[in-house]
Formats: sequence, C-alpha cells, structure tokens
Amino acid sequence: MEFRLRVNGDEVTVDVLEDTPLLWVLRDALDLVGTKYGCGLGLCGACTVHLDGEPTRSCSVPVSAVGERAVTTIEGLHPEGDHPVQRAWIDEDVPQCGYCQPGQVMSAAALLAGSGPADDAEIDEAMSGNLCRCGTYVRIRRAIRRAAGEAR
Amino acid sequence: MTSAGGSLRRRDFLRISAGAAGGLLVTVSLPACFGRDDDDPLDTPAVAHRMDGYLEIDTRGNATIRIPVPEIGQGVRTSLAMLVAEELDVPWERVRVTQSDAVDEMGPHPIAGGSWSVRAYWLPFRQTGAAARAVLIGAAAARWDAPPSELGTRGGRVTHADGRTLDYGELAAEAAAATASVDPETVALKDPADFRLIGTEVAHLDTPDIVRGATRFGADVRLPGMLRAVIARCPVYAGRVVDWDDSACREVPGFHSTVRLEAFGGEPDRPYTVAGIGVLATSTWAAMKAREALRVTWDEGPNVGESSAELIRRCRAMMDTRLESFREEGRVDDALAAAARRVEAEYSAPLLAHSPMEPMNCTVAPTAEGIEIWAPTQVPQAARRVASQVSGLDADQIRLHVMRSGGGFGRRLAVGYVIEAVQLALASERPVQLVYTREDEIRYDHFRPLNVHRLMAGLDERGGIAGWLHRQAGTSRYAFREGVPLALSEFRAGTWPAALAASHRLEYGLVESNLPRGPLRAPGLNTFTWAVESFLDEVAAEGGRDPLELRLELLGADRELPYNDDDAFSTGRMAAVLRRAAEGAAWGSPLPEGRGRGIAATFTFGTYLAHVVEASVDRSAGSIRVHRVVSAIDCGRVVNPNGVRHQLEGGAIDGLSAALYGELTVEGGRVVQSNFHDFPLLRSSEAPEVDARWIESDRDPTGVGEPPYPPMAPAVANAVFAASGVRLRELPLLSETNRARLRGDEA
Repeated sequence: MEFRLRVNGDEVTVDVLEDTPLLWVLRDALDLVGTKYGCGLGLCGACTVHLDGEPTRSCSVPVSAVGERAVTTIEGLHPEGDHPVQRAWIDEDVPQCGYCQPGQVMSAAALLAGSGPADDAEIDEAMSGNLCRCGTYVRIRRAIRRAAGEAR
Repeated sequence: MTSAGGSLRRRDFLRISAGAAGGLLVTVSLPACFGRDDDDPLDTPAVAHRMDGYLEIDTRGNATIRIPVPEIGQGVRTSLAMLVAEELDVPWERVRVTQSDAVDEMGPHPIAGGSWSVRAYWLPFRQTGAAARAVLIGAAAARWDAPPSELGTRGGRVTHADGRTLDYGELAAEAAAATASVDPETVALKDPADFRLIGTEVAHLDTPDIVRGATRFGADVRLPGMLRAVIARCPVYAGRVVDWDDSACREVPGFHSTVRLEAFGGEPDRPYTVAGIGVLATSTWAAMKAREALRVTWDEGPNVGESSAELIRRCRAMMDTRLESFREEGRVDDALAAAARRVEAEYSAPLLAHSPMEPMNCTVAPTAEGIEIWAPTQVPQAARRVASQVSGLDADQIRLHVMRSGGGFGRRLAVGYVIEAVQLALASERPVQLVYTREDEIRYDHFRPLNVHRLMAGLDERGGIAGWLHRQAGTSRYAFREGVPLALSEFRAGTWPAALAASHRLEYGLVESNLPRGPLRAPGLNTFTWAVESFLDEVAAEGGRDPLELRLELLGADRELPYNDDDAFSTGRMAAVLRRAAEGAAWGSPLPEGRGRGIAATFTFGTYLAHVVEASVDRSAGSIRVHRVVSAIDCGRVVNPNGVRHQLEGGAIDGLSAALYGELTVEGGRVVQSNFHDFPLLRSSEAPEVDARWIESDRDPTGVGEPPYPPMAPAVANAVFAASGVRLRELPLLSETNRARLRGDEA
C-alpha cells in the first residue's frame, strides 16, 4: 500500500504493508538507517524520531498512523549535524558504542525545543525512556545541561 | 604475504611500499605479547603469532592507521591510534582510522576482550609509529644529503638544525621508494616525559559521526537484492524441527522463502547453534511478520528439564558433597576448628543475558570468489574461520568486514549468528541480512553462568583471618572444553584475598547443564568478586573491624605475590586504590540516617580497582538508591584519561544495572524473559554520579574495560548493609525475595 510522508523536509512515497512500523519504513524503505531498532516495544528509545517535533518511538507507530505529521530523524535534525544538542554531545564526548545515541539525541533535542528542563528531575523524566547499555548517562545529563545553558 | 606461524626473518619485520593514493604505506610485523586467547570459541591452538601495524601517510601528510581490534565502545580506535600518532609525531587533527578486515596479516587473535588491546599493542603500535618516522627522516636525509642523526621531527614535519623543514606529505612518495633498513624492534621510542598526546584527554574520533547518525552498524549494511532474515527456533533450547508449514507466510507481501537450518557445532544435546527455520523476505518487517505466520512442529528435545531453580538446587546439593580442591595452603580445617570465631555465608549469582543495545546481526553475500561478510564481532578471525568451516571455502575466499559493535560485553565473542547467516546466504544464493529481535537476543544468548559460593572464615582474637575456605559449585563455561581446569572458568583463584589469609583452600564443583554459557564482562570475576568482597565485609562486621581497615591489614606490607602462572599481584597497588577511593568518598565521615557506604576491590587482568558506593535504602518500599560511586583505578600509565573515565563511569553503571536487576531464568528448558519489561536495564534516572580517579603511574598500561564491573555488586550490597543492617547474598539485589528482606517481611 502506498503512503505519502514528509520526512526530513522531503515528500516521499513508500509502498509498504500498512501495519509497518515507521521505524522499518525509515530503515528499509527509505534507507535512513540512523534510527535504530532496539526492542520493538517502545521500551528502549533507540528508535526515537520527532513527529511534528514530538519525541516518538517509531517502532510503535504504524505508518498508517503518521498522516501529515512531519517526520524528523537524526539525519534531519540539523543540516550540518550542528544542532546544539549534537554540539553538546561532542563537547562532552558522550558516546561509547554509539548505538543508542541517535535516540538519545532526538529525545534531548525535543526536551530542549520547549522552554528546556528546569532541573535534573525534568531531564530524568524526559530521558528515562532511552536506555544506554554502555552507561553514558552521566555524560548525557552533563551534555543536556550544557546545551540548555547555551540556549539561555 | 607472510605465513602465519614459524619464525620471521628480520627483513620481513618492516615493509615499505606505495600507499593507495601515492603516499607511503608502512606495515610492521612484531611478535605478540599474548598467547592463545582465553575465550576463543573455536579453541584455536596457540601459534607464535604476529601483530601487524598498518600506517599510511598520504601526500597531504594525513596519517591513516588501520585498527585491528574491533570497536565495541571501549574507544580502541582512538587509544590505539594515539600510540601510533605519538611516536610518528603527527598532529592529532591529521589522524584518520580505518577498521581492518579480518585478514591474515592481523595475526590470529586481535580480539576485543580481556581488556587487553592497549596492553598488547602498547609497544608494537608505538614501534610502528617510530619506524615510520624513521623512514620519513631517512627520506629527508637523502633529499638534504644530511645524516639522519642530525634531523628531528615536530608536528608532522622533519626538521633540520638549520631551520629547514619538510612536511611528511612532501616526503611520503619518495619515502615509499626508499630501501631504508629500519628495525622496528630496536627503533628509538620517545621518553614518556616527551609525550604530547599520550596521557592527554582525547575525544573519541567517531563521536561526530555518531551524533549525526552517520556511523554504520551491522544492520545498516545495504546491498542490492539483499534479503532480510529472522530465524524461528524452538523455545526449548536445542529442540529440533520435525516439520514446518510456511503456507501462511506466503500471504505476507515481501515473503521470499523458508530455509531449514541444521544445528551446528557442539554436541547433539548442546549444539553451538540450534536448529531452526530461517524466514527470508525483502524487508525486515515482512520477515518478522512471516515468522509469526510460520507453523513449526518441534521435538522439544532433551532439555525440557533444564531450569535455573533446578540448577541452584543442584549447586546447593553439590556443596554437601566433597568438592575438588583446586588450591590449598596451610591447614585450613585446623585453623577453622581452632578459630575464636567463625563466619559462614552462602552467595549466589543467576544466569545473565548480555543483551547489548544492538542485537546480533550478520550480512553475508555470495561473490564470485566466495562470500563477503559484514559482522559486528569481537573475534574477527574466529568469525572468518567458522565461516570457512560452514561454507567449505578457504579463508582467502572469505572477505569479512568488521563492523562497529553496538556493545560487546562478551556477547560477540560467540559467532553463532555468523554461522546462521552464512547458512542462509548459501542456501538462498542471495545476499542475506540476518537480524535477531530483542526476544531472540535475550533467549538465544550464551549466558553468564550460574553459581553458588559458600565461604567460611576462621577469625583470631583480633578479627584477623586465620583460615579462609571458598567453595563454589556452578555451571562452568569451560565444561565443553578439554584440558582446561573447570575451576578457572568461574573461579579466578588468584591471590586476593584467599592467599593473604594464614591458610586457605579453594574448592570447585561442576553442575552439569546443557544450557549455553559464555564469557561476560570480567568472566569468572564478575561473580567471584561478588562473593568474596561481600564476605570480607561480613568478616569485618563479625570481628568488629572497619571493612577498609580489614582489607588493608590483610594486604599488609607492599610486596608482590605470584598470580596464576604469568602474572603478579601487588599488595601495595591494591592498597593504594582502596585508599584513593576511600579518601575520595570521605570514608568514615558521618552520613545522613538511612545512608551507608560500601567498599569493594578487584584485581582484573592486571589492573587494580576499588569502588566506594554511597547508597540509601527505603525500608518501606524495599528499594535501593545508589547516590554516588567513587572509583579509583591503577591501570599503569593512562593513555587516554577521557577513555579511562568513560570505562569507570560505564562499567560502574553496567555493574549496578546487573547488581540490582540482572537475572535470566529458565523454566522447562525455556527462557522466561523476552524484552526490557522483564529483563530491565538501569535507566538514567537511577544512574549515580561517578567520581573517577586514577593512580598516576609510569608502568606499562593495563586494561580498563572490565575491572570496573565486578566490584559494583558487592560494593552496593555492602552499602546496603551499612545503611540498613540487612545483608543480601543473592543477586539480583532487587529480586522480590530481597525486597521482602529489605522491608523486613522475612526473618
């Protein structure tokens, strides 16, 4: 079945099963492989993208439910990869293996797109859906505080 | 090409040739520092093997260093490059890295494991950089008609005393044509006092690509005509296919075919890879859907009786029999009988799944020559060897590209997923990308073994340890190997702390099980340390001693003791990390009500490490909160402080996650858990701050990837005891039983 989507500013058409999770549309139909599969049940956050700027677990959204909403993936977060969150991630040298990081960055970017986190508790609440098996949480928190500080 | 094994003639040690883009390619062959790797899944016999450094300098003076060790997040692409770049004397901005394919020139064992990469390559990679520098100096000397001894280098340029300089890029082409006689084994290395890079904070080279989503992992490989595959396997381990019906699969658009896979390796009742039905489709989602539509009739096989509850029961039953004495010094039974006081405790650790964030995957394409493989693996040469075995192809017909791993933790020391992918590609004669779902990943892992420890100590009047008896029964991961003492698998019976007691005995008993087991971060030590570091605290409490002070007294005067066959244990270095962590945590100073500190230490792969954990217990909720970890490490000379800090932070959090939640259970031969709702990992809201410290040292570097992991569980349990008076002896600490203990529900 054909679906028209807006992905990273581009209009695309894909021909997929209608229950295909957005994650697999991105990875297999569009070869946007920056968004990762971790669990398929929305429990780990590796698949996080933005739908109209809202952080969303793309493994849990069927393509038929996306509609007109703008899809932003890690590849489209910033044209030169220079989003404040990405800069902060580089300044704090956050990643180890890196597999969870696109999802972490997308969740953090959505958090900071609003008025930003008031305190660590808000950071924790926003980021606790993103697992990191390598344990880079300490640096993720520091990077978010750095990016939030820059934004002020 | 030089051949593996045998002796190498001196003139083969350095090869100079033209690089791909007209610059200089230097390859250096050097004797390796290590013998056979402990966790080679195929038990390759030790050979006199080489490690080869590869360094290419292009005409713009950029240096590309080929990294033989897989990157699993331990930062090896950066740390090994630093070793070459330092001696080459090239600015860091001009350094690039590429990942080596699995090729003969890598030597047989460049594995990501054993915390060994920096330790093993410390000398050979520095020699590689220094040899290339000498070749470039030689080229400049020829051009200037000056003696090489009057030339130097700085920042990627050869320098003459009279002020003339030449960039490496300008010299690269003519250096390639030179017939320099540089011996990399004797070339002069920098005095560490002159290091400009080693010992400085260096960000990981791949970070910018990672945060842009540009870094490719195994399942990101895309090939024309590539099929995706998942495998249906019997829910009972090693069950066999009786029949299958894929008629409903054909209703799924994109479905391609099913392929029957035979079990491979191991024994019929405990194969290395299990039998199954591969489901192939043109998209990953279609493959997953088709697998759900597949009907398979299984013969559940011989393992329906396997269960973790049964294994624990058998471990305990074995404890009541006579175990094999693995090591004994002094007369322990007499010491225990005569002791003023005795302390006795039983500890247990469950099976554990590795569950890295990136599930297993492997892409295989048939080619004109043979096959091409893309695999995230910790053991490239073993992966290539097993692909050769499965396919019948020679190794040189197999190209294996080593992909970055989304976490290793020992999971990717196993190569079953490579076997399966090769089977599927050869059967379908198409490129195939095999992926594991999270459920597959948790259920078809090679688990960290389960074991039970019983310790007994006899104390003298001062609370010192007169006798130490450590008995362990468990499911050794060496049970399928010949000629290796089983005790060595999960019973790192080195020196600390047993041999520091006046007398000691270590005993081991194997509990038979067909369930697949494998190495997990700090194998053996990850449960051994749980038992001994918790028990040391119990001994301290019984004897009225401070846990830190008891450990320091046990270590005694600064001296070296033999450790296994090939290493030494320094009591002074162990004492130093204990003191450093304690100092950082203000050990002994008052804490608010309900908070406690726990200390634990380890000697892992030549590195000393201590954690002090500060935790509080919510008695009514039966929960534990870790507020802070202070870690002190002695890993010899620190190559990249940023990398060491990463591993102290990450290892502490990984260790904490396993300590609080880590448990894999089996019932009726089936794994109970399936995804992160019932196999939880620590979340960011639970992650403590980690204060990372290290001992300044000019000893050769030892590893940092594994040491931070084992002492976390006992440090947390010791902190819980300090905070609440409740002693927890079974992992995971937040099991239902332990929560009840914390709430005071149980006696």
